[in-house]
Amino acid sequence: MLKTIATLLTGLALAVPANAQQSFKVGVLTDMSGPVSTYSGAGSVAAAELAIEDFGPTVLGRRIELVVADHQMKADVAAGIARQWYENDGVEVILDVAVSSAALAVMEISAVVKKPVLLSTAASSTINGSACTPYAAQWSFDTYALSRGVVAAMAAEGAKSWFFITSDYAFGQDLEADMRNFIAETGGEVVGRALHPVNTQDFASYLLQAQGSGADVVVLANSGGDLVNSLKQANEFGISAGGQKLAVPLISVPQLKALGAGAIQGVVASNGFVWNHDDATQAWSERFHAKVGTMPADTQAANYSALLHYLRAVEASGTTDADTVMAHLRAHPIEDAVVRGGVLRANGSLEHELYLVEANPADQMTGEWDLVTVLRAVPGADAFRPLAQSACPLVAN
Amino acid sequence: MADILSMPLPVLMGQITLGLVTGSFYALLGLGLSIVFGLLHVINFAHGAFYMLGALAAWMLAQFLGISYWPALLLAPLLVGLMGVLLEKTMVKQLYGRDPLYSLLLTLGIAMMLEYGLLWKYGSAGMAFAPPPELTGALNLGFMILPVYRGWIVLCSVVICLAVWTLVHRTPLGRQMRAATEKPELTGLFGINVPQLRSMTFGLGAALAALAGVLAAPIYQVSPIMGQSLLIPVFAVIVIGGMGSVHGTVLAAYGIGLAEGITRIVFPEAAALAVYVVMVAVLLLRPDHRQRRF
Repeated sequence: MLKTIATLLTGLALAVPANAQQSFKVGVLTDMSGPVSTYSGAGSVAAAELAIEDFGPTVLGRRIELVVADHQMKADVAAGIARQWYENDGVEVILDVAVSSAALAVMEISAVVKKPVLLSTAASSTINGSACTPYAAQWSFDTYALSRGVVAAMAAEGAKSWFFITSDYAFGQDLEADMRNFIAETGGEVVGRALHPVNTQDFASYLLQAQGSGADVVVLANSGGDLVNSLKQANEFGISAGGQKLAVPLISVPQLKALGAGAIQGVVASNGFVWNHDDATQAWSERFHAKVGTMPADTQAANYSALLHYLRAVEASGTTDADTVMAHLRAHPIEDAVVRGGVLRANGSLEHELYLVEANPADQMTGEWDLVTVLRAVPGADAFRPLAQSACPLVAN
Repeated sequence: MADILSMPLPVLMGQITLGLVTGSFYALLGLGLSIVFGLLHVINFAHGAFYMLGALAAWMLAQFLGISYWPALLLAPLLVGLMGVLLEKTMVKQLYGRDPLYSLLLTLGIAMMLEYGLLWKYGSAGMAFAPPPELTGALNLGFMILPVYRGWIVLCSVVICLAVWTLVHRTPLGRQMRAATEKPELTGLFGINVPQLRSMTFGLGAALAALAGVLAAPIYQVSPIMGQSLLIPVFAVIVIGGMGSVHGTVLAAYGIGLAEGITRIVFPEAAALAVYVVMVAVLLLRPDHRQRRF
């Protein structure tokens, strides 16, 4: 018995370093059970697995190994794991890093150790602005891109007055500030705002103010559970039924599903990917669905695209050197089952087509996941902040 | 008053009405917590989890068995109440007579296992739960739009608070429950099954939390962690109400609801803080207040 164990242990001791040398580690770092896991989490991991399936099991002759860790939405935990992965575990690239605070922390480490980080969920515009690094890419969108399309579309429908229900932290405030600029450009007017703390249960008071303001559009500039609660109650107070439009710049398909068709009618949002937009997105999404049991969120889909292109770039440039690989990514168009018309820009943001969507009325849905209709596709150049206006020091302005 | 706050009267009336709705909700949740503490001296940190289980049970009944909101309003609290009885019989009762800190830690552990276990299974986005068709729509009160469902919550809360107060203070069963707390040995000598009464009390507390959960399901996010953010303010409410007093809890709940509503007009950012400010004031001014019992 003892002998068997000893043999096994020796075997393991020999096998581990050999494997570590052979395998090519890619790490998905995300929130696995908190509020963001709905549009990142296990779905993000599954998307990375699909990318490895499509690319093939090896790169540069090494077997690709996917490692996963949960940062529990804490920036310090994320930074600790990132350091361990990059410096001790030989992880070549970190993906996803849901939530902007964690993403910004990991970006700093990635810049020091010179290994890439590809962000598919974090939406803060600081990531491609003052905090940009040559080793970070923001694969989905930022608050600027999310809000611009929504404002333009609603203004085109005649919206003149706006009311904000804003989550009182960096994301909500950035989103409101960006939207206010676009609203002013269209000649619209902001008639009021209500700030609420993060993790608010009851929005009745804010919704009452929004209703009393008589604004054409009520903007929900919040996320996660706050967004679900405020949308559910907006429906209860009859905001849409009363003729006001609801603008929700950041909402994913799994969240819409969780709200239920009755509660989301008339909601207008921006998405980076729509599962049934065309045959290619649909085929890819069916594969995702078979693995996860839900249709993909745009941010989960972006994780697939990011890893697939990273692996292709490594194979094509024959090295894991981050400068070479990132230069390759910036020099080649990003186009796959998920991303259309993608260009990775000097400030790290992936310019690509976004979709302005409206939630389908319950009686017009053709299936349980037929939740939104694409109002229009917004070309990347129109959706994202022009490089000339970027605050990123890497951009020569 | 409207002039003092430089607020149009309709806005003030609207916020006060909403304050009453919030208060009703606090009262329902505080009630179960309060009787469990008052009668069993257990600080039940699993109360938020029971509330969540109520909402989740209603969703499951609808999803898997096609049972509508109305039967669920009875069935879900019954199921969660039974689970409460089971937990009491197997675990909670081991800790009677010890420092309440032990039961606090035990129930906190139970809550975390329930919440994170279900989170692993169902994720955090939550489940869709539509209000029953009879209770949709909104009433125009002139100064505000009041959704019918909010009115229903106030009605339920008032009826249930009265019923529980009557049960505890005006029925033989209530007398036995109180006696079992004060003098368990003596009550036992009268041939009353004290352990049974205690299990029932814990079960009743759990069932009340679950009922609040079913009532909340159509308007709040139904998710495994929905009880977490609510537990702490409700604890503050029962501290203000005098830890374990039924009418104290109910009065405190409505008072806090109103205080929150008014704070929302004067200084909106501090609305969530109102409950704690009142709690600190009560504890400082009347430190013995919390020792008042049934």
